[in-house]
Amino acid sequence: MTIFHYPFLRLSLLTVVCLLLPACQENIESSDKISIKISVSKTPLSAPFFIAQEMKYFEKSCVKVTLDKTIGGKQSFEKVVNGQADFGTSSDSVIAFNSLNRNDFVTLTTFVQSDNDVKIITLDDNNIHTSKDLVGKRIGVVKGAAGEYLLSTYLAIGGVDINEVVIQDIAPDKLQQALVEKEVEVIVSWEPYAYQSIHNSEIKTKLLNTKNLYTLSFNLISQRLNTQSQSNSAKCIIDALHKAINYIAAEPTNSQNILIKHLELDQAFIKWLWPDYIFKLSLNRTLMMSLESQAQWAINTGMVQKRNIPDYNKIMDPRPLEQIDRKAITIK
Amino acid sequence: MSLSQRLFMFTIGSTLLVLFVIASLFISSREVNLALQRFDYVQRVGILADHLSQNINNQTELVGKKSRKQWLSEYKKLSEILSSVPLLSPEMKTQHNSIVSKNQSMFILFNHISTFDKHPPTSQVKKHLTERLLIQIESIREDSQQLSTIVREDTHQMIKHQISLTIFVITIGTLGLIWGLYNFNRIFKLSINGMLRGIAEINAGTYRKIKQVEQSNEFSFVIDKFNDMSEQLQKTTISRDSLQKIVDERTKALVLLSNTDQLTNLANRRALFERGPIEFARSRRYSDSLSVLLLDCDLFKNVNDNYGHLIGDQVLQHLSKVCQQQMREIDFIARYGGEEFIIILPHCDLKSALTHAKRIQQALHDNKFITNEQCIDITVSIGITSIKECHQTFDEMVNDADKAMYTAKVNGRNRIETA
Repeated sequence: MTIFHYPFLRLSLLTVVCLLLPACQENIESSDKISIKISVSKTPLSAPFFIAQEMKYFEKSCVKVTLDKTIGGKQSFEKVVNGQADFGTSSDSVIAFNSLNRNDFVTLTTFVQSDNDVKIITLDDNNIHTSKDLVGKRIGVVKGAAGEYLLSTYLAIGGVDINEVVIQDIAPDKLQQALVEKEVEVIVSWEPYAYQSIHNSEIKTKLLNTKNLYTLSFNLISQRLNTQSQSNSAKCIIDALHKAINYIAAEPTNSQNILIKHLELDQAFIKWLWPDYIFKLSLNRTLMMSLESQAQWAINTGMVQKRNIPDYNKIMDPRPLEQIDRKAITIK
Repeated sequence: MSLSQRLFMFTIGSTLLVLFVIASLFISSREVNLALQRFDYVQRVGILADHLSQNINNQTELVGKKSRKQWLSEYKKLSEILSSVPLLSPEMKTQHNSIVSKNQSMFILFNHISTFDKHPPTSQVKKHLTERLLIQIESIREDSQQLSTIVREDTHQMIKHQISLTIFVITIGTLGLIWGLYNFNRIFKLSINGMLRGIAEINAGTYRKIKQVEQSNEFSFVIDKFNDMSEQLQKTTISRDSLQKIVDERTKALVLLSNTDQLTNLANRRALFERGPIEFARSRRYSDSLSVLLLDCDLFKNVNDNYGHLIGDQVLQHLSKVCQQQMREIDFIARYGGEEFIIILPHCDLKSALTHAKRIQQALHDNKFITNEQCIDITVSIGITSIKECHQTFDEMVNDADKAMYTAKVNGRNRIETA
């Protein structure tokens, strides 16, 4: 006589199998998950990614995510288009500049915006107060990124042409050094490098007033989503970001602590910076208008040697975001 | 727990329920009020963003002082609205912060553009900055639209939640009330039924203590009193029963006495006319045969005269004894009067009655009366009648039997005659 002849044992065995089945299924799913690499710019703007990782929102999604911390959105963009990463984070300016040369990428969602992330910093003894004082000065900037666009706008408001200054393309993490060593008189930097430069004890810096002059947005980009699997992965990442952004809204202090831990930053810095950031998912007309405006500006000012701006509808892919938060989309 | 305590608890529960419903409605009204404030806020932001957008669309007008003044006035209105924001959820707050930030950016851009009057830039710069201003306004519009959607969804969610909560509270409350009422009803019903059962048992002469099914102090008290009363009643009712038993026994003895002939111990005339009609009616109902024998002791007067009344009485006793010995169990004999006896024979026709009569005569012949070494020969004249169509009553049968007996006397005594 086997145990199957005993109704109680048979029922118990069935119960155990039923209890274990979801766990087994989870393990199977976990092992079957697609591995995804996201090139994340090493800036507080990427907070939703670090929080999603810390809170295990990625683990709970359908993809296995590895975050590749990269210096700046421009480098992150390059990793995506070169196939070194599946997804990346880039500012609208990087997208605007690159869209003039290529169309093999898509913007999936904006996840943060700030009107004070990019800053123009000079040494106090350089006697620079307004844009007019920048004429003939050497300015360190990451070309083809948000910094260059802010600088050109700042100069234009003061009636200064970008050709009247000496632009030097310097990597984001080398800008501070260039200012200290007086390779340049002015740098256009973004956080956290701007904060580090301002609080560098070796130099006395001065911050030019550019707050609210340019609203930077940070976006999730990828190569074109040609397969269902890629679309699913994008959806899963956006879902995790959505949860992380809700967490930021509900638990700002904990979110700041997570960011401090991931980027090894000062608490004072995060507290100072935090009010400037607005974390929310969107893919809207404003982004499109901003991209068009920046691209047109880059053409008009000669920053790029192109004549026509592209159709930005073609570099937006709202499908994954649509599945997570339909109301966040206002583009057609 | 006492009934009053239960009632108190029930009242407290009902009051709490009412308070909970009131609180729920109060919270609902607050939520609705908040939702209305949010709607109003979102609507006003949206309207002002539209106005700002319309004013800025015409770039030439922006340069004019009048347009600029109007635009600034609307910007101030928007700033005022943004500074008096109602309570928002974290998601709404994010949208609100975005609008505030873009509002500030918009103002700074506007100020830069305003300075173009004094220091005119290239048309390219002017166009670009105006575009940026439009983008900021458009962004505010989009944020306000998104905020509007969030508020709408949140309100729908809130309404659903409040309705669910209200339904839940009312359902739980109603169930609680029903349960409370059911409980009270059960206690009352069980306790009262118990007492009614006790009363019914007392009426039936059974004295048992009532057991309380559901505990309640008030009913416990009543039931204890009832049980005491039942116990007392049981004691007094036993004395009454005994008395009744004695009365019944005496009554029975008296009835027996009133229906019995003292000399012969046979049924007397009274008893005869009680039993006779019953047998007559039964015979009629079932169309059964019935016969009556009327016996008269022959020359009984001579016995009294010759031997004395005492011997006469003994003769009658002997006669009755012999007759009884010849009777079936269903037969009935009574002393009709003096030396006359009547025997009722149910299920017996005339022929059988005749046999009966002969058997009696033979038995008397065989069992002679002996006293003081003297043998007295006793004979009887017997008149027989059986039930006929013409008999309307038992009395008529007796009358016929009497006539037959008289004929037997006339024809020489110690005879049997039928009617």
